[in-house]
Amino acid sequence: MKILIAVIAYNEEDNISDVIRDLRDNNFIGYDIIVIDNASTDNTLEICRNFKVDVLSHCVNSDINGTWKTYFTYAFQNNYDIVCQFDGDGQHIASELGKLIKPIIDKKANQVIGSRFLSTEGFKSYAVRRIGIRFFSFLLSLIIGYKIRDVTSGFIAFDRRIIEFFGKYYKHEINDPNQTHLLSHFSGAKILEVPVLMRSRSKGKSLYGFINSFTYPFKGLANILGCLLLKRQILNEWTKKYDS
Amino acid sequence: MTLKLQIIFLLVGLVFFSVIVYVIRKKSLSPSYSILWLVLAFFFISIPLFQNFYVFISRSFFGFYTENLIYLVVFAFLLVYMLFLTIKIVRLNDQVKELITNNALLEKKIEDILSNKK
Repeated sequence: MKILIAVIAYNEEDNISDVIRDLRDNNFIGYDIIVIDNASTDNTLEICRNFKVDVLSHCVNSDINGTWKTYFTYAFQNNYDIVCQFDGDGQHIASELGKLIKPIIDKKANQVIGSRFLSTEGFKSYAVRRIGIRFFSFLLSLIIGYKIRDVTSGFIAFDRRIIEFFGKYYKHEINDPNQTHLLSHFSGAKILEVPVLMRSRSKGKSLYGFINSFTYPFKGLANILGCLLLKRQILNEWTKKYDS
Repeated sequence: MTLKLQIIFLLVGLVFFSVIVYVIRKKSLSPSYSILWLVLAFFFISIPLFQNFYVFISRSFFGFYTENLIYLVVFAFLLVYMLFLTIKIVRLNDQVKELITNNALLEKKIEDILSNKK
């Protein structure tokens, strides 16, 4: 089984070397590592090259959603069975990867979300953000029909079904993880949440700044509405055909 | 409609028309995008020229003042044009993302080929 770990990095020169070391030291499953460098302006790319790790480098910055597109397309073209998103800021822990990958290997789920809120230990995000996460969790659970708690988690694994969906069929913009969960659900995927440990970012700056925290709820709602409008189209054009 | 307002519409139309012709000549605006703006400029110019026609339309079909009809037409036009441009931006955005992804994948393939040659 071919497994790919896609490390998302944008200006992570302070963290990326620790992340790569952590992934290499804990590679008991035999996965491939690829760094998606979203046009970093610091030394992230050079550090990756020094580590001789595979890199897909964006020529211009394309927000977080552009990186999803890149790794899904790469995983699809290179026939990976599982792709796992891993943040380059050091929040995710490589030894926790097995928890995400196992349910997919056991065919219990098509998409596995590493959840901070199912675990009693580790970093749980900031208070204000937690309120937003709870709201979107409620909304998404209402639509999907089962509970998803950590909707904004970037620690996610996808199986071949979703790799084909995003790498081949759905070529449009994906703006946030909520959208990914909903689209995956409409594409016929079973989503599972597993408890994982996460660290807080120790160095560098987060992508989600002050202004973003105010605009995010509105964008998030618009994205969910947009997904709902696409539901029938996805079911007819993709899900039914894939399942038959 | 007062004479003053008619002159203002005519002047706005003429200035707008000249600006569009100027930017087309400077290749800042492609002819396909300029058509709708030219239509708007001609509409402004036509207001004082065909005043009676607009008065007739507004009074008999809508039952309100000609000025209101003109504002409504311009507002509707701008709304439609903004929507058209937003659709264009979204399409361009998707295309740019596609190019960024393809560029990154190609760069990786070239690097792999070159490293294999070494």
